[in-house]
Amino acid sequence: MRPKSFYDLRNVLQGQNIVFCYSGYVTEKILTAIGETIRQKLALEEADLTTTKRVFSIFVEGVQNVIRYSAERIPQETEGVHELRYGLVAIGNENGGTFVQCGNLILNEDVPAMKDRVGQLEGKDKDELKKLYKQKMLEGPEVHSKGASLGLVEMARRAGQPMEFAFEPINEQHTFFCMKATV
Amino acid sequence: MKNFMEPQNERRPDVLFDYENHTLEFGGEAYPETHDRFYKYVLASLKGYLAEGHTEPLTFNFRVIYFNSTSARMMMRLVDHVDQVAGEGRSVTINWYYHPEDEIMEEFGEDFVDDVKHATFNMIPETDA
Repeated sequence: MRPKSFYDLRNVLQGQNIVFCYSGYVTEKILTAIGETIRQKLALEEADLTTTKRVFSIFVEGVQNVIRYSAERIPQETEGVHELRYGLVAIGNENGGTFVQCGNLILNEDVPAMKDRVGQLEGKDKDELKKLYKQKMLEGPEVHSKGASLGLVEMARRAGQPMEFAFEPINEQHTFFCMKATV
Repeated sequence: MKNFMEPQNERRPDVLFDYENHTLEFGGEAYPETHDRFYKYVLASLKGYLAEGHTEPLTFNFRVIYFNSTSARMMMRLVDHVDQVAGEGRSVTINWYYHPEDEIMEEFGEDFVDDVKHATFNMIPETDA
């Protein structure tokens, strides 16, 4: 056991204003459990109804994105109901707001499509995001989408400020995709 | 058509389709785990009922507290289907209940208003919603 480095890990997270972090295989059960904890925490902080719902909504869409799309999964060969997908989820406080940050590996070949998707959100105000949301809703799910492909737009609509996205090249196969939304 | 009664269960919404009384309820929290399967049943049931061609006035009450984007798409399809029978002449009322302090649910109600072409759509702030 290396208690010092374990403690250091905690300090690294705190240094980034993260109050809660999960790194590992993410499942729907974990989403339920962390989601409940977030709501409990916000209730203790006496956050208003809309703020709580905004944070919760961003959290759900972000985590479901990891569960459905992380390229780091077991078993690696086949996709199915019993598969597990690896990712990171962090919640923190910054400048008086609450942020939700999610990260997971994606295949390099999927980077352009993902960049397109997040590019659609860039520079859009509240009404433009609403329009994009409705447009996506009418268009139907994208090819290969397991959800409604509305998740990102929903997150952007709920965030009080523009979302941040990053694509960190890891190796010949993978890129680390990271997003952050602040309420 | 047999009534479709699925009370709220963890992350599944209340889906209480009382076809005998032509009153449909959809409420609570909606972010089901196995959304594909669950919503397939819901939609199939509603479509079956609507296809029976009843002429009695139909009421659809939404009392939703939270739903994820997947459920949003599903709710939109439910609304589309009842709006369609309204277009064919049946009297259809959709009531969207929301807590007056809940800006998000109010906003979603407004999203739906724009898409409903034939049915009567009421936005109803309700403290106990």
